[in-house]
Amino acid sequence: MRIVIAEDEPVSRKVLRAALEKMGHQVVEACDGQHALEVIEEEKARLVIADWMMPNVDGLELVRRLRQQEQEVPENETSRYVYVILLTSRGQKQDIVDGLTAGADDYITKPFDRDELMVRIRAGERVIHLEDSLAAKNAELAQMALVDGLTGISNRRDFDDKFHKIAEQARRGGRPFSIIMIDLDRFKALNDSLGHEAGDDALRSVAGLLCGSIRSSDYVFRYGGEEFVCLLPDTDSEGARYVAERLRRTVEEGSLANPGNPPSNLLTVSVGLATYEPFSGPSPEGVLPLADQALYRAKSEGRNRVVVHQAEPAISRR
Amino acid sequence: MDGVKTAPAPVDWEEGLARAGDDVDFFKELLELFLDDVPQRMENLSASLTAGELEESAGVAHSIKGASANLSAKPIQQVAAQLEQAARQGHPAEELTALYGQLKEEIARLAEFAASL
Repeated sequence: MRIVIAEDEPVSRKVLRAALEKMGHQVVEACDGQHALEVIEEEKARLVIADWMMPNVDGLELVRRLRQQEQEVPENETSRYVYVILLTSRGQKQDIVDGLTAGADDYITKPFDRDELMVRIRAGERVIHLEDSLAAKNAELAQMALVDGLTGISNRRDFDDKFHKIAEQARRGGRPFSIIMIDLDRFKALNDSLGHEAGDDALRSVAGLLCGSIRSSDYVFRYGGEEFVCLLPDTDSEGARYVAERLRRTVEEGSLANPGNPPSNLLTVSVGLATYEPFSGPSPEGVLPLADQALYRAKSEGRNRVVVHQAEPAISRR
Repeated sequence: MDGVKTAPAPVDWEEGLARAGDDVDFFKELLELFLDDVPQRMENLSASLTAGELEESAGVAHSIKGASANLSAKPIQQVAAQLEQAARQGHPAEELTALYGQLKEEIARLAEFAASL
């Protein structure tokens, strides 16, 4: 483990370093609390042994700042808990109380005993290990919450997040974006004729086909039931129409069976498309229902086709 | 080491060696490091005592105490601890000066001892 020692007194620092290196740890030295904060950041260190009495930023202040930094970590970043062992002089009971209250995890009295140091560092390693596995589990759960269980692609919840972000970027940056809604044609008939398992397989296959034919800058989600949705940042109506048509064709050419879908009896999709154009038409949020309307028109006009929502003609200027 | 009988040995050799992981060379290195570092601290101590900045004096004495404890240099550790406490409690200047003198003597004894190794 990489351990930072914050100690201004060279003899203590050297003794501590030797003891830790003998235990197989890597040691990085800092000469006071301020320096320690910088080193911890640079080295991504997880365990710090800090002397109580140091010039400038002392051990107590170091602990306070570390704990404050951990509070201020942005939501989308995982915080690294730094385990802090304070070095105090023997018999300074109030120091120990103050130190632990400020957020130190443990303390060792000076001059330290090697065996005691070793077991206390092991205790620290256990806590760090638990903390890491907990953080990994949390990240995994957060990831799972955004993935559709059946198809393995992003789910509705992830769509809501991304849509919100892209809408915000479009609004602020004055840039277009497009939404493509995709619905499997006569999916109920497929379930009725081939069974629900075949229906699930069809959803998985379509998810795979869609993911394989969008551009790397686009996103595809399972929106619900037999419906998928794509987000195309920075894409105008013309560009989006091209992508939408390719998606429709890809599914058709996938030659998956749907006996309830005449005349081809192949699995096909209907596609609705709408685009946010800055300075005209609907708000970014207003684009979603328009894509939905376009999808319904695609259905009513005979399925297996792309319908683009047509913006109302701009009011002519006098 | 039999030469000094009247005063306690400047270091508890066995304990100090154990702290240094039973590595004689490393222990000698630590002694040298201490002796290299301590004159500057003694200067600071002297200056702060003269200026009556007792908190600063106590801080320096604390550092010397901590460093000497690592070496099991018991006499230095004890005098430094006394000086730290006396400075914190604002004892009279004569007492502090006397303790400073004692500390200087103990450091000289340690230097002599280290040179004999």
